Amino acid sequence: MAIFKKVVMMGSFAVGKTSLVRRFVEDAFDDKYLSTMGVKVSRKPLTIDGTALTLMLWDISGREGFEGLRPSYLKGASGAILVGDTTRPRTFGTIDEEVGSLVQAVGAVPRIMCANKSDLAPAIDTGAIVEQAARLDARWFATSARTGDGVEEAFATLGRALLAK
Amino acid sequence: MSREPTGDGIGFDGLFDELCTRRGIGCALTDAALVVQAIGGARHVWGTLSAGDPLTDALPELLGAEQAIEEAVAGGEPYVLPWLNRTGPSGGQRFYELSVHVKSDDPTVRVHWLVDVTGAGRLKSELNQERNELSLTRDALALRNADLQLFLRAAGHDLKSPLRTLEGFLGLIAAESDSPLVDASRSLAVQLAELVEVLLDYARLGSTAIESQPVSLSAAAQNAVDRLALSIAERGAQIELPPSLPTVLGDRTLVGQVVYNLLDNALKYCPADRAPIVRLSAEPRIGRTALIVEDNGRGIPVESRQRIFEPLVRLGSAASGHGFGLATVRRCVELMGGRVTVSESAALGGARFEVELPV
Repeated sequence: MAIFKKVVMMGSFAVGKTSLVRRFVEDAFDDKYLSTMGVKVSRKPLTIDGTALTLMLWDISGREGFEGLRPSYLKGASGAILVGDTTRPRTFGTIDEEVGSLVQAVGAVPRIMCANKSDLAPAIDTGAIVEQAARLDARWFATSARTGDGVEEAFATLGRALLAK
Repeated sequence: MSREPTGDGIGFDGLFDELCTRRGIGCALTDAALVVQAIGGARHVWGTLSAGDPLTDALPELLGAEQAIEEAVAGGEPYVLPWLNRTGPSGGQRFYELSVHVKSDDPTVRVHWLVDVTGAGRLKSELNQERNELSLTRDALALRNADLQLFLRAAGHDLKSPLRTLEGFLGLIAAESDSPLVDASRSLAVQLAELVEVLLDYARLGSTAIESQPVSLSAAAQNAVDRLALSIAERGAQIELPPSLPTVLGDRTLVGQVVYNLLDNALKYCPADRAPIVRLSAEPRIGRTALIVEDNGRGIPVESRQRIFEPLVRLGSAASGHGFGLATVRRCVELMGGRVTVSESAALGGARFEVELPV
């Protein structure tokens, strides 16, 4: 029987949530910023250690302006990908709030953290990311939706954690 | 017509189906496991779905949501997913709101309503895009501003330090030399150091947060008069202050800077053939107060009234100054959400500056 797992993409606006999904699902990238309105769901079938798993990736609009809708989108989530933009340090501050909403909605589900836009000059110390990821009990990955660096590894790691749970 | 259709086979009766289609509504009846019993309207969403198929084939947003749906409906509430973002048949974005209810006369049946809210969704999407782009621009400006402040601190130190040394060396040479060139050089070094200081002060304006609070214009005016006491005495100037001036909402330091610069400007640019007269007053404006500073100087020609608020602009070369006084006034006023204009003073014949600030 096919295993489906709902995974929510969380983070501030313009951190690259949609681009990460697009890179992972379609292996494509578009430089133009188009904000996501509401929620867009994509499927990605994976085989992890011989087990077929389909990730249902919920690309949710950035937190700003949509706080009230988040509980509706988070219901039933089995895991989360927390995304911050390394060129905008304050987007990592939003991740703490996102984890709060996630835990309130579905409890302590597996999660990973993507320090995205790793192809650009960072404006945040790696040490701060390491500390935050440890505090949030999330493995972290330097990712670039533009180049694809770290993307497969990040999603596969979460997939593995979802199967192990 | 009842809001709860009766399902029969793979579709509803023709009239209900037609009504759903016209209203941009989709309706599906399923069991608790989300297996389709009947569908109507929204054919572009349902596709080839038919009775016995899982509804999740057409609505993957429901995958894994069975438990959440059951929890919601068990509590007597519908399960609602707002702003489902889909790519429509022609490639454009479409938005739907999905709600799942229990059929009142058969609790084993789930009624799924899918309402097309594309019009509102596109508007909200455009607003969202504009707000986010604005926010990104603000973030980028803040980063550039921070870089600029770092540069200014470094440049300020690197410029001031050798100038101080140069001034000191010239002082030592002047002690052993009668050459007027040495004194002139020393004077130029002092001027250059002052200019660097003024330039840095101007560039630093707005780099720290504005603390808006009630500020007494009377106190600001009196403080400026006290600071300019020497110039006032030297020129035999007459400063006319009313018994009281109102309070405005602004930053105490910036308001003080504005009043000081306007008074200083009036004194500096008053022709030598007359004793300066400077009159301060205030007038109410809608939601604001205008501080008015008038003088008996030469006034500002109409064609120069915009330009004088730019940095390094001085009208006439007789007076001393670096050309940052009025530019600083405008920058301070704008930082506090106000505006400054200049016209001719009917009462005194010189310039009339109006500084509008929030109250």
